[in-house]
Amino acid sequence: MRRLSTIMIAAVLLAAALAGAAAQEWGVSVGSWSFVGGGPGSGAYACAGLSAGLGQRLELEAFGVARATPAPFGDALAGAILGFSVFGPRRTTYFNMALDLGFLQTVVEDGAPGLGPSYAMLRLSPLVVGTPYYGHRDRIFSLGLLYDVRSGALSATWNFLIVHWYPGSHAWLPAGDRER
Amino acid sequence: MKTLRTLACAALLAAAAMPAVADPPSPWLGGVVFSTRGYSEGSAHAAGEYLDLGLFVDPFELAFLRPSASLRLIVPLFPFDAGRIDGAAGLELELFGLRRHPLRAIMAQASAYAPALSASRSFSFVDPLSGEWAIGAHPIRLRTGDARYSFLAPELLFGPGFEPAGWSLKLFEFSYLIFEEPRR
Repeated sequence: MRRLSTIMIAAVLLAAALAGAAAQEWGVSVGSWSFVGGGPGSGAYACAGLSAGLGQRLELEAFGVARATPAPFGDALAGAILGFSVFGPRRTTYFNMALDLGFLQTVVEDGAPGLGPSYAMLRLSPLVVGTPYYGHRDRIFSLGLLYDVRSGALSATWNFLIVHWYPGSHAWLPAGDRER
Repeated sequence: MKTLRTLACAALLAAAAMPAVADPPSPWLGGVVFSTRGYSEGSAHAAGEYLDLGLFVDPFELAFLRPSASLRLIVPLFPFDAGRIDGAAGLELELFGLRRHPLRAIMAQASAYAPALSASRSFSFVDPLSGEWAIGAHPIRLRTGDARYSFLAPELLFGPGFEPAGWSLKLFEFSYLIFEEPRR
């Protein structure tokens, strides 16, 4: 099982490198995260990540999730998600839905650094508002299914809100340059 | 010299109490607020994600020390527990608004960096005397024309007799102004 985790991590790093080379635009994300009925346990978690747009509908995101309460940084996970925009192209569909396929690897467990349980994740963000073109894209009420690779247990994840910023987007150009 | 100092202090206080005349008057009176938060170990709250939902009024357009008040429900969202929904009444004091701030690049609208301090009293609907006092800070808080966005706001909690009772952290708190002032 440890070998599988290593292969998954290598695959994620390789995909991230390829995505970096082919990325249309970069984004930064922050949000909240909850694990329900499994994962590292109950608490309020914060997540932050870097995303790269790939083609019309795909977005690859590398991110970290850390426990904020009750014991800050008591658990932390690193992961990657490949997101698919369901209702239309990412850059032009202002109200969208996203379907994500992801992998999470525990890197801090009960306060101790080291590789812990790993998870595969399928997540649906039913309401995605904004586009990279406008510089903002917010995922609201995301619900995910988490599969513990080691134990085979299923649990759920929940993100109330994940905010994405795209610093290089059209919206951040000086006003006089926006019409170009 | 003492008189001069007194006059200078009085002038500062008067300036703080004056409306921000540089901007057009805001039509907004209040709105809705929501946030997600968690509580520390040793607090009276179980581990989990909590959702604040409430209403607020922001009636004074002051450049400094701008007060607002809110009434909220604090809902244990994950794991959900309807029996432990608390209420809270709070005051917030926005210290100042700074237009040229380093975070303005992440906002699509014109914004001001507007840190704030807060104080609140929570109460259980089952036993209203068993609530907590909370004193908090909003160090990363932005104000736009119709909203307020706060990130990573810590609170210190105190029991009914002001004994320390742990802390909480609001991951984010967004307030949207949606209620207009009555027309004069």
